[in-house]
Amino acid sequence: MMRLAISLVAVLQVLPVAAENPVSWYNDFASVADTLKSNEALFLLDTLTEREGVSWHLTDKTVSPLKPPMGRQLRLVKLRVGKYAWGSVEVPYFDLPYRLSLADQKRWQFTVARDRLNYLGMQFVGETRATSSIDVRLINRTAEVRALLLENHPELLNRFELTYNGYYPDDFLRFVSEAQ
Amino acid sequence: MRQVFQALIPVLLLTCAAPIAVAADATFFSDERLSGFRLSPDGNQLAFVVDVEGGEEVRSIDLQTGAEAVLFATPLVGSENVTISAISWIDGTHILANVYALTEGVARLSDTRNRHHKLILNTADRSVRFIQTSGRVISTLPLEPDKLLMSVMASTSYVYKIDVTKLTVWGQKLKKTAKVDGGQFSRANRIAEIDGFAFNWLADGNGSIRAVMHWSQDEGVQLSTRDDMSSIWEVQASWREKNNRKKRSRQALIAADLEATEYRLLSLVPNSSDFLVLSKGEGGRQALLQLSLAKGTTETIYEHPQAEILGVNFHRTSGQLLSAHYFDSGYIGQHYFQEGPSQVAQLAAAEYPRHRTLVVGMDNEQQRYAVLVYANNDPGKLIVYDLPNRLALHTQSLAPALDGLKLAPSTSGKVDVEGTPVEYFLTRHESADPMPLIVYPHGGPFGVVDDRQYDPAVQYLAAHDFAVLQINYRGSGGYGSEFLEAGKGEYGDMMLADIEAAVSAAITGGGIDAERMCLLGDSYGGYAAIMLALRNPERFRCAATFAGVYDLGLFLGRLEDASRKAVVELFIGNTDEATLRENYDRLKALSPLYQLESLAIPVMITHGNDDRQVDIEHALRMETRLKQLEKPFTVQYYPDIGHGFDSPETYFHHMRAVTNFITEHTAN
Repeated sequence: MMRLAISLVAVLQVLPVAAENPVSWYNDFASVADTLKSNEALFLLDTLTEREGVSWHLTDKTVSPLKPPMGRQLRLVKLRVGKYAWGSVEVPYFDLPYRLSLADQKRWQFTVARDRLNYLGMQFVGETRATSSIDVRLINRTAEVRALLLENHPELLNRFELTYNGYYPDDFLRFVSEAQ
Repeated sequence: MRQVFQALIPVLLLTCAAPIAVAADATFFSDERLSGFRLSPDGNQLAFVVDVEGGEEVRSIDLQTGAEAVLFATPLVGSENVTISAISWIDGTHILANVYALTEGVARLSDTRNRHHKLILNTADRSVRFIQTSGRVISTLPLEPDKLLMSVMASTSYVYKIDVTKLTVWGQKLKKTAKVDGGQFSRANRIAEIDGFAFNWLADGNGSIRAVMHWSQDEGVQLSTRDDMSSIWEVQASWREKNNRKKRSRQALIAADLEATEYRLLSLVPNSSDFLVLSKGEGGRQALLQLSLAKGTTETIYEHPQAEILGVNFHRTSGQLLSAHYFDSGYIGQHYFQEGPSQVAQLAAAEYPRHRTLVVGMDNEQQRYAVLVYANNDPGKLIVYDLPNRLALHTQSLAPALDGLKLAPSTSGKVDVEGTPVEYFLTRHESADPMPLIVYPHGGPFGVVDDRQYDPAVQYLAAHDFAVLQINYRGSGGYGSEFLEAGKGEYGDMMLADIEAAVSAAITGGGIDAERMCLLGDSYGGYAAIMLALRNPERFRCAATFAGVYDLGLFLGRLEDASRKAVVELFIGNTDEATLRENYDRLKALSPLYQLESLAIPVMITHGNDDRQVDIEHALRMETRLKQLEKPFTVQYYPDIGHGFDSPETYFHHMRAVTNFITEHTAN
């Protein structure tokens, strides 16, 4: 009836954050900036994808849908300088497409500014879902991304200032940068 | 050889002593609990819910023989995330168990669903039947064995009388010709219906449905009554929120209309057309009232001088009002309306003079009573009393794993903060010397409350010779709507002032070493801990947090656009005139992350990687800034941990680390 006393030694492995979802770096972070045109800037697309076949669609139809692989991925996307918004995300269900509109949510809007490494947040599509709903979230991970870039691609941060450019204000990166 | 043996003795002592100490410490975090006690109508059986390894069980004890039986175990309906929310006796043989099972749709072919199972447990033959049709059991018809009333809510709502012996046995394959639930959800078994979504049906003592609260998009919430089963419904009162109703979901409209209703309907008054309701009393607190729709009057039945009435209990067969309960100085208090429960409470109080007593059940004849006795240093017991013989028939520990532990008592105090009374609890073992203090504000912050029931973290810290201070600052639950309202807009201001005042009052009370104080908090408590460290640079020696909120602007990032305004208002008050940027700047000014230059004490930051309420980014930002400022800190990230600890082992691991950290920084 009674549960025995809890095991004497609780062994817990305390892992650094990124270790849980190892980051894959989609393109050559060292050189992609070299191919920027004069009216372009870099957008750092951060995705954590737990289902197959996900694609993200900007409201700007001239940009092809972005189809991240499973897992965490950081990808540099060259975009024309200007304002953007994620219009929808497609998460297929069985063989049917499933599209969630994001167009009416201001937090999916962002700006791509010249000479900046523009960032919006981690775009998450969860594994769990129901027939009529999916788990899609935008999670601001500026501190984590900054640390990852400092460790793996410091040259990129030397060249471009990492900037949070979402609709809602977030001063963290600027604050840290000014304090240095 | 002897020398070798002598040299081994201290080693053996060390290796033996350490695990024993750890085992005792870990026991504080055992989650084995007994709850949901229900005495059978004949008073011969006691049913309850037990947490066990891998799930929960419903068990019964035969009070004559002492024989215990497992009636249901949650693995029957799912392997994990299964909880038994409530049990109740239908008659002398059957128990209704409400079971929730969350099935996560991780594979392509499954959905994420929270299934609600209504199970009928037979204590005689141990069979388990179930109700497949969606709906709510509204009455167990004590005068008709095997029967219950169940409502089905839709644009037209119905009540059916169901015979539980005709339901399908769980796990038994239904024959092709068999009907779901024995075909009982049919017109023949329908005993009431009304247009609209009905959410509160009231039956009289004969099982006749006489009143209903229902909702429709056009009319809002309405209260309808009828004299007997054959008469038609008459609308007696209606409530409808007046704001713009266009472009709002049905759920939002129902919630808004419910907010506008004045009464929470409890029961029909026997032999009368009046209702017992919970509503605002003369003192402005939620009170128990008798509502007469015919006269258009309300009469106060019971109003507590300080506390809001949270709920009431009725006798199963007579419908007599037995007791009302309320939150009182960290405990649930009870007011008795009948002699029987009052006498049995006195009987228990005489036997356990330092405990609180709660009468939680009785048999139909009001001879046998189930009584909870508990104290701030005792998780408690359930005692079945035979009242005529003044005899305790059965005593059951609520947390058997904790029985051998010496737990610390707590005292309560109140401090006036600019006209607002703030209650606090101080837990500590007796000591001749002043003790170091851990200030431990709760999370939430809105509507959450610390009580004086067993808290593993508090008792674990007390066992390590700390005094622990918990504070129900303004905005906490349990103290009424006015106190809750007082917290709005005070997230980073008066809530913190309340905690500071409670610390001063606790020190004034004596027995505290004011030179050795640390802060500890989870979620909002973590926010408060860092903010208090910043506001009082000389007062505290260290701060430890779990799942803390450190950047209020970032915290809003997880919210849908529509929710943001309400949350910002909750945090910083009226924001109507302010721009997005101005609001952000106000939140930033209240965020500890942007003030860490003045942090003067070491901090320990702990966060779960899987926290969906307060994202781990909060901790990562703290880590970034603390490193940049070269402040003393430690940080620990737990994989697969969300906004709380769901395993006793992990909780213990965390609290042991916290205790070591605080011990180091409060050393003389």
